[in-house]
Amino acid sequence: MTRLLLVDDDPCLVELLAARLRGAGFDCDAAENLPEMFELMRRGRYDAVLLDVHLGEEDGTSALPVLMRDHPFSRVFVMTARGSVEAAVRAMEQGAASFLVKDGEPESIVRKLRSFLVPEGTATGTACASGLRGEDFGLIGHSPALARVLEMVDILRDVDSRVLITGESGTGKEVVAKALHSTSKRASRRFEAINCGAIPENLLESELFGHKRGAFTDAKSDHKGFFETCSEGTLFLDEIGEMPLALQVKLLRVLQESRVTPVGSNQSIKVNTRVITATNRSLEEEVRAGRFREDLFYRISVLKIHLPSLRERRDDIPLLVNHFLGIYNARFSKSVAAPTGELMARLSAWDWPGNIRELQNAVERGVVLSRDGQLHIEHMLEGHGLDVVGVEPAAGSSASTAAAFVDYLAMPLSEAKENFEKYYLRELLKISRGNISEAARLCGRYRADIYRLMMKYGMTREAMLAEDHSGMEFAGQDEVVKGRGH
Amino acid sequence: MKALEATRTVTDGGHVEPLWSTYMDDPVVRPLLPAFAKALDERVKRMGLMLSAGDFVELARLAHMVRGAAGSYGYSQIADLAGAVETGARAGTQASTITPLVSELAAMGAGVSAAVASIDPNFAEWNSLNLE
Repeated sequence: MTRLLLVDDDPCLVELLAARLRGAGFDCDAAENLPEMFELMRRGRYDAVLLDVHLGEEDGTSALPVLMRDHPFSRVFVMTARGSVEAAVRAMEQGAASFLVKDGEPESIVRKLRSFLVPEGTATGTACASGLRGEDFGLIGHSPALARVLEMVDILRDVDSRVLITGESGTGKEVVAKALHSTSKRASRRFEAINCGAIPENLLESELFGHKRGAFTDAKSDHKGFFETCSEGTLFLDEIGEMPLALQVKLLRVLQESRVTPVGSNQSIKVNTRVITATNRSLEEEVRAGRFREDLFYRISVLKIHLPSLRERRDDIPLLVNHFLGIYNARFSKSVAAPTGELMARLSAWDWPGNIRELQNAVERGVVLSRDGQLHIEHMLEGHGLDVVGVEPAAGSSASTAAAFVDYLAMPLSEAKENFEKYYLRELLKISRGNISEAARLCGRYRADIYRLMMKYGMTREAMLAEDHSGMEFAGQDEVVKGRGH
Repeated sequence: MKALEATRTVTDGGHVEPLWSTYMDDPVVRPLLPAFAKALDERVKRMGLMLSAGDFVELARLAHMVRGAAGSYGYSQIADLAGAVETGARAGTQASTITPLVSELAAMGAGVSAAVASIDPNFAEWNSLNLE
């Protein structure tokens, strides 16, 4: 029988909750304060601790670090009253499995506990008690680390606060931002993502706040910014740590006043845009270094969600591999088999510094290069220092690809990087037949990133079309590449 | 005060209207209601004392307990009102603003006792005992 320890200083509440949980088949003990809780935990093992946030003058969550360290097998659920979302979020940041609204529907408490405390091996995927399913949002996996992220999304579904998502590149910050949007009351309205680091400062200002006709050389007509077009919806500002200081001031003002002033205008516009931000940097360090405004930091980090790296959730790698395999088999009309145990073990052991994005690209490469219906590690981890000798180029790809990699080794890193980037971009645009949106999707970046690279390497639509005899059809969006050079 | 506006009057002259729990027919909650009603009565009395003494920290703590328990026992209107007292006490709101809320809580507590007494004839006698 699953053993629970209720920690609450209200005997009335404990008696009721214990009665309900016993009725649902749980074995319950109770403690009124933290010393009593630790004493009971010293004597016996509990599957879960239901810990009230307010224990008289004690803060129940102050025990979380010790519980995490000394009782790793006991899952901790913090109990809060309705509307105490911030306390629940803070507790989950410290390792709590989830939160329980103690004055909410009794059945929801039982349901949530059951969903978390089912015997190992019977869990089928990431889902929380409310029925929110991770796969519906592209959150694939069943690890506790991912379950916590989904719980956070669930907690925040009725909260219209700003959220800061942190985590390494490729961990799925935009996926989580979209999930936050999709589960919110703003779901039917617009969601837009913008990478603050990929767009020049003056262009970024115009993209965010809009501009008036004649505001700068190429401003031939009025242009609504994302804050305005996403009003009532959600705007996701990725890599917020890269935003130039001058623009941070303007963003701060918008967040404070909920009004934007387009470039070249002296009239502000009222907006109601939820802002979700993300960064792979430590914004606290950026603040200390004077590169990020402290007041803006506090404005955007009302609530935080941290995404684990893939190496922190290795158990999810097989699920992710099979998920991406299904996608790429369908896209390339192939039927590459799921990896064998040995290959899957090697993939699971790999650290994946580029996280899910890197894994996704590896599976795509594995599917594209496969000629025998099997995935091969040397295809998937190509370019990671593995021996690529003997790797046959895929049908249609250049035989000089492998040789080019060897050539890069003779160059200084910066030069090799630039050469590779240029090559990568050209190949990418070939595959996508010049469709910028498709190219961006394939490489897991924003369209703006592609435009920026095209500008960097002086690639224009005309030049690419003239060069490519296959008649690559561009998406007709290159005016952004050339334009808005104000 | 939204909670106060949402509260219906439970006293009508000397007669106390019973205030029913939404879980009155729940077999788990029903036997525990007498203890809850008694605890509620005592806590609201102590809240009044703390208010008079200007001890807003203890007042907020008591209001928080009432809020959590009342919601669980099927008295969301009491939970909302206690929540308003808790918020006011933590924000250092003037006692004169909080006093009517506590009075309203006391009236509701009387309504809970009346409801419990109507289903448990021994409640009135039991409630008069000092068990703590």
